[in-house]
Amino acid sequence: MRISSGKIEGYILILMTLPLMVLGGALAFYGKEGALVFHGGLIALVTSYAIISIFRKMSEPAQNIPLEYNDGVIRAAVIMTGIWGFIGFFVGSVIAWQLAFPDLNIDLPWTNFARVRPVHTTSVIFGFGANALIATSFYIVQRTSRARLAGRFTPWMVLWGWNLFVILGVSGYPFGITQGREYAEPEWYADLIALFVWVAYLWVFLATLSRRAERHIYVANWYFLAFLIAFAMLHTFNNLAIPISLEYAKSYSLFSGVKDAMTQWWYGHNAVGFFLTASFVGMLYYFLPKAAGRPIYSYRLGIIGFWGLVFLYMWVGSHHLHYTALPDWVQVLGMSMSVILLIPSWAVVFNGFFTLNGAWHKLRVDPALRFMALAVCFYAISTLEGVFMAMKPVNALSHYTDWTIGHVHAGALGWVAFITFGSMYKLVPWVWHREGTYSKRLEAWHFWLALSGVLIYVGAMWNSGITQSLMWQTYNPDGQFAFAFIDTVDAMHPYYIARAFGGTLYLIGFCLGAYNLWLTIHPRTPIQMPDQQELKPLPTVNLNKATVKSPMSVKATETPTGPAE
Amino acid sequence: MEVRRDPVTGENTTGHEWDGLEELDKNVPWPFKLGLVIAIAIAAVMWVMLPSWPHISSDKWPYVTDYTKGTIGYSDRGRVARNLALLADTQAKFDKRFTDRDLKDLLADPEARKSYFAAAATLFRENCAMCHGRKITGRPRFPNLADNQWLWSGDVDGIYETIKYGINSEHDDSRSGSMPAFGKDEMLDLDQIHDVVEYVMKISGQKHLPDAAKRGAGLFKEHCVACHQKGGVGNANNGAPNLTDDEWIYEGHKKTVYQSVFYGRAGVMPHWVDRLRDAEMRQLALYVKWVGADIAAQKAVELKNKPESKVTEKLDGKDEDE
Repeated sequence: MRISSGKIEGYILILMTLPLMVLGGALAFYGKEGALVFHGGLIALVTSYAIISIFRKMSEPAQNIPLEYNDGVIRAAVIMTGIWGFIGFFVGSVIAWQLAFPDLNIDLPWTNFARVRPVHTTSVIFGFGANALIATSFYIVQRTSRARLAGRFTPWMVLWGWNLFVILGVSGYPFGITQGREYAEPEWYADLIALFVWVAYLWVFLATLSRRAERHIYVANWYFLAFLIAFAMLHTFNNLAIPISLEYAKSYSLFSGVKDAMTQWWYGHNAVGFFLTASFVGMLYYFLPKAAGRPIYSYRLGIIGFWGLVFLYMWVGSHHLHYTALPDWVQVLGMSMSVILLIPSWAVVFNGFFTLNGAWHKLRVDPALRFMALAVCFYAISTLEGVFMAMKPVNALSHYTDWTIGHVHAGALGWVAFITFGSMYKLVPWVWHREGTYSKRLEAWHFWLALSGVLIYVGAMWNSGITQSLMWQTYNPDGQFAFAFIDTVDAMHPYYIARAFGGTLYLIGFCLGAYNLWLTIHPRTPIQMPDQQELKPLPTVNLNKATVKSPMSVKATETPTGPAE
Repeated sequence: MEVRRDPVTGENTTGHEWDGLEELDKNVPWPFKLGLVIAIAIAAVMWVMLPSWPHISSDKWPYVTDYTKGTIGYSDRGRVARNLALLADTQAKFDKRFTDRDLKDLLADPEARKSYFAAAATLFRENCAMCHGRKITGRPRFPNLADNQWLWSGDVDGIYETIKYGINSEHDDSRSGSMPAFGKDEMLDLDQIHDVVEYVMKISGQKHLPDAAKRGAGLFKEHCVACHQKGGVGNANNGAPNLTDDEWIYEGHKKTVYQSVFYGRAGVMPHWVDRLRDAEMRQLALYVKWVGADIAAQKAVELKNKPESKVTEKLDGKDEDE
């Protein structure tokens, strides 16, 4: 079978990339800040390389290759996930130690907490998280649609374009290039690239779905679609800004005052909702039942959960702005929708846990499945906690304190990263055609280190947050403050050390995991590669055969898609 | 794929299948439905009681300019205003205890100290500690408040005035005093400055070159006594420090004294009258005196326990915590 040489696709991509190349060249030429010139040059370099390689590939004669899943881009995305994960977790640990011992910022402007923190957040969310999503969504959409990924060049453009965006972000922050919008820090030119990439991502996904060989679209793909569409919209509106010139990176938001704040937190909360929840729920809906070898608990619950989540999340951003200049009615509306949102969110919890019915024994022998089950736990805890924190009376206590940091990390470390780790331990052997990971024991070490790290981290931040908030709010009967601000700083110090320690455990666990997967990909002893995969017809596995329940035979169910079967 | 019965749960599958994944046709469990009803009910109660839904208003039709006000008439602004009024009321009652009495009177009253020390300490840590230190003993460039050496008046009313209007601050009633830049403004040449510095070393009881100090004595008389007084004992009326003790704001090394003479000094203490309530500034003045007395008493005890020889020369020595 022949696949398309991608002429039309290639020309469209070149036409879209050219303006970005011109923009990059202009920034490099007119720029007056070192970092901006570097960014412009990098954009021009990467885009021109992309254009040249598309031209070269297009001029090659069309090849006859077997119709098979496109896993090359998935492998590259997995590697990028590991690299960004290390950077993100490492920088996170460094700034955690800085908070405990401020001298560690060694008195340089570039290593100041305020400049390094966005390096951490961008690396973990848009580096680690997004690359993991690109890898898993491309994997899932192909398998559950029984169709090859659409496009010859576009999937690669998505992957490298997105990583270019992340590099532009993190390399600019230490030099002060930022919009100052939380989780949307990259400046306008990087945002344009992200938008271009995102539309391409959406196209790849939709085109793959449109050529599916299944009648229905699998639930994981609904979530990925919601994530793609919602983030395209959020990213566009939140980053509407006017650049001041080509000489400096600065731009001004199109909105002002409280409208600007509302736009930012409408974005900010839905970035959590769609980027860190819906999409990772998609991951869960594929890898958890796959690893457990069980059918999804309830199809109907899946539908209610999906539509409830998608509808309600868009309303609740205003709960980030309680007791501000935002009008009361907007705050209350956000608060009330947050209450309702809990229930559809928990549809995932029901489906996640009850899907494990009949497979609980596998948790004993499969650390990857344990990661996924614990991810559901943390998801349950942090969505419940989030609802309480959205209530105005609780918010008065929790807002602007470390409690928020604890909440975010319960979600990010406990839910997002755990489901990613669990999925990666399955995905890597599948896409590299290995029997399993290099070492189950290392997986288990990773699991326990990561779990201890999260628990220490979150526990410390809960304590610290509530302590500092109560201290801030305590008046004596004469209407005088009972504590000075510096007293709360003293009180937080032990918790900050505990937090940094927990984060470091998490980082060590991650390094073990990365080492384990690296050895899975590059085994020490050469392995017998299976013959050229003839995936015609695209493989499916009969679940009846796969649900062998003895712990001894877990291995047999672990690689249901492996071509070696 | 066919619908089949799952042997573990006894449920039927939906008959869909993707890459080996199936779904059960399980009904939504009742706790979930109950939860959904309760959550919507809670939200509905909020919508009824609190300001929540925007709507079109009749006078500015068709623009959405109004919102449902809720049955209990809640507003953040109203709540804050009520709480602030309550606080102001409480504070006003409390403040009378300080503003109605003489500061000297309060200082002598042991009851006042017992009742207000903790809150005054918080005030100090909140507003003053970043320069003067949590133990009020200062740090390089910021004066020690516990050594009983004062640039300006060390009396409780004088301290209150300093807190209120500041030193070299932007307030019109600020205390003002600065050391001229003798070197930079070419009032003295380098040799002369060197000599004056040696003289200052001498009068402060430090190592010095006797010849240079002798020459410096004349220069000191000519240029410095106007403010620092004869013998360099300082003057609390213009903020000129005593140069004969071993308390230094800018550290007493030759190098920093040289810098002081060459470039001059004009240290700033901000005025607090625009930021703190009168009673708060009074508490701070009292607090400085209370803690200063404590530290002095502690010193005296320490000295008593020490070998007798050092008693006289170390009486107003530096605090160890600095």
